[in-house]
Amino acid sequence: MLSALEPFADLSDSNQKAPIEYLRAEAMQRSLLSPRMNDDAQPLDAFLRDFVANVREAMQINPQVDDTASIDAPLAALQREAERIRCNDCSYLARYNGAVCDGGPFDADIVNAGGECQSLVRDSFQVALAVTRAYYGAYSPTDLGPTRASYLVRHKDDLELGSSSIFVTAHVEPGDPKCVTLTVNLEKFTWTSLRAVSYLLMHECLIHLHERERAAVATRPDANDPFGEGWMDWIALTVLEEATRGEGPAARYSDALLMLSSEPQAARDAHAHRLDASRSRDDAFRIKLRRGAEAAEHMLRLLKTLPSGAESAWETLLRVSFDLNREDIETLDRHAWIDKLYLELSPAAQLSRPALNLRLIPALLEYRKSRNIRELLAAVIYA
Amino acid sequence: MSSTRIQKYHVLGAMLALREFTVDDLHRLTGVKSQTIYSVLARNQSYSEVIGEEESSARGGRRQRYRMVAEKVEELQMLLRDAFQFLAVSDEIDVDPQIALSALASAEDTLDRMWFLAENDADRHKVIALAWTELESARIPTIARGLTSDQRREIEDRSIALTQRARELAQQLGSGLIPKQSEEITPSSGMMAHMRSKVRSLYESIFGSGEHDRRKTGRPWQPAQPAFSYGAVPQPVLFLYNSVPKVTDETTALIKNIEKHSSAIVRIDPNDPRSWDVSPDDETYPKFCVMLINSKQKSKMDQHLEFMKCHVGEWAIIVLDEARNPAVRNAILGQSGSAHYIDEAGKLDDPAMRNLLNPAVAPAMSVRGNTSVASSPMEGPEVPLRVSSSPAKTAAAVRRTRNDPRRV
Repeated sequence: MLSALEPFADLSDSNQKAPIEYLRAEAMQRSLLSPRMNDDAQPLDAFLRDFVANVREAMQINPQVDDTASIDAPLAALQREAERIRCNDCSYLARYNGAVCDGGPFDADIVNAGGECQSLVRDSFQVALAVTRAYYGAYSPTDLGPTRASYLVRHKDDLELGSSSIFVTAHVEPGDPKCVTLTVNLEKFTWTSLRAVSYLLMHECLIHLHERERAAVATRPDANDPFGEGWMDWIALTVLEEATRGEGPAARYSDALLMLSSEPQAARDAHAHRLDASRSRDDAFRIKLRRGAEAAEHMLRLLKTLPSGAESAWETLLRVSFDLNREDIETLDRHAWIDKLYLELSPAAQLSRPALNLRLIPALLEYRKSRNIRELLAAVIYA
Repeated sequence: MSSTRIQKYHVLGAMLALREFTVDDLHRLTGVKSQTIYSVLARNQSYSEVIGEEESSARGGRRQRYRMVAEKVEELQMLLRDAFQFLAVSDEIDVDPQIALSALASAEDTLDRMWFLAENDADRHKVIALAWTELESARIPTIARGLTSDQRREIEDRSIALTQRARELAQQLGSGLIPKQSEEITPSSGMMAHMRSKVRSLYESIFGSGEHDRRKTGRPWQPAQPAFSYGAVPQPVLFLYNSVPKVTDETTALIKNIEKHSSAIVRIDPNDPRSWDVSPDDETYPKFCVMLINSKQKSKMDQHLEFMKCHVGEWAIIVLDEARNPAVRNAILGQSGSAHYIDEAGKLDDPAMRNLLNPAVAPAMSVRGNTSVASSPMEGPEVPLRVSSSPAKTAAAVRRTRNDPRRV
């Protein structure tokens, strides 16, 4: 449903600014992710009908509006979408006690049980999960069995992420199934945040759902881990871009990703924000995350220079990354993997590269044959 | 080192890494033109052999596939290690100060937050090793481009402080600087060869590349500087070993002269590894180590190499082989042996070394606090050596100049 509103967000440069601003203000004030817990909350279907009517009225009375054609089409689409939504049909409680989302005590239960207003998030999660399974299935198949996962949306009105205009974050709670949790600041949730949702969910699914799968005891992901949050985050971003382009083992999800507002630039912005060391706090660990992402890029560059094998450099990097992510490797060893590769492969260390290459290249060539990730890890961090 | 020679070593390095290759493979890995690669292969035929032909992607073309000659692998490894170490000390390198500053920030985080979070000594060992790797990536070449003097000073000052912090934490653990380095070294472990090349390259950085610099820049000969430095104050520190070697009358003169170049003297007991991990104090951060090895006491060799392994990244080390034992000399300095030795008549083939051995021509020293800084290049007339009676007393000393024009 949210995607029907998206065209309005792209018209800010047109001369239809007044109604666009009106639309945005409405959208921001009246959260569309879930009805708010306040007195004037109304069911979503009623809200949307009023919303469309208000926009039409604003266009008629606003003298600045001299060309309504650019708004008519998306507004008509929104109206169709609004008419499709019926809170009575959506709410699983409606048949028992007539309850729909209206700011009342049952809202959270209703939306988490399949509320239409969260369809975009739910669909994004399912697509991220499908893309993840496609990639792991192609490059790191195991006998571990399918990873079970669910998702949950939480509201947190004081959520702030530094200077970012993204007011949504995600994390994975261990358990069976593992639970991907999106935390949203509804007051400040904008299109920028919405467009980052696909990337955030891809990050959680591709990285943390499978992180240390081989460990005997499940552990909570470490937010300071330069491998998980730097190296693997760059991998997740690149996988999302590849799948959105219709390439790779998840090419068939391209249309779905495009429909779900999977905006490449938004994903890149969110990725950059994650690594941004200029944020007011935790500079040092952001720097480490960025070194992790850069180390992955350096590794890809090195792999591209090796004699071609049965798979491409990118495919080998995916295999290495997924295998490492699944292994039960101590956090400090994951740090060491990043530090060693960054030290030796970064352009700043070009003069010492040959020294590393003499051991890293044979190890990579051997890994392409043996798929023994432990040996490759040892060749890097214990060298 | 000319770009052609650099390309040659890159090609040889790629051969060694791939073991089996085509010219296209070498080109992709090194970026060197195919024609140059053919030349390198032709001029170094002993290292590789043709094992067959295969279809080329070029129209109608066929290409040869090569293989490293197994018996030559070790020889080429040694050659390349020497070559790239020498390359590292003799070429100007562009430096992005942000990379070094980022690495320092990482090291700070490691030594503070991660050290605090480490749950046991095994983790703390890993934290120290991590910090050391990060400090490595913060190192800046002595002859770097792209740095202002303020940036260099900031990087060096922070590096010194963090290195000192890492050492203190390592000492708390009762181990060497990097825990892994306390493992036993055996001649077959590969570490010994690595150490040889390190020593060799450091030796060349002091004695060998001076000529190179003169050719390159037209400036008067100056002792070359080690490839990397942490500190802003380049005074040597003399390390004297309690038992190796036996200090004779002849070597006393040498040691006294070296002492004049030194800001501190640290006595080391080869039988006590804890005494090897030393740093005199914050202000006189050691830059050079002069190490005396009595080749007759070969059993001590491993201990010395262990020491070097801990420190060669920062300190130049000159090996003095009292017994002129060629086998030991070559074991340490490498195969080609460009070491300078005193001949039977007491003459030394290198004027710079003669000067170093002679207090009369020692460079002027300016005193600043408790640190001494050499202030002029080491030049002067040749003076007869004081060491003369016994055969072959080899000597060396080290200095650096703060006002070297190559430094930004």
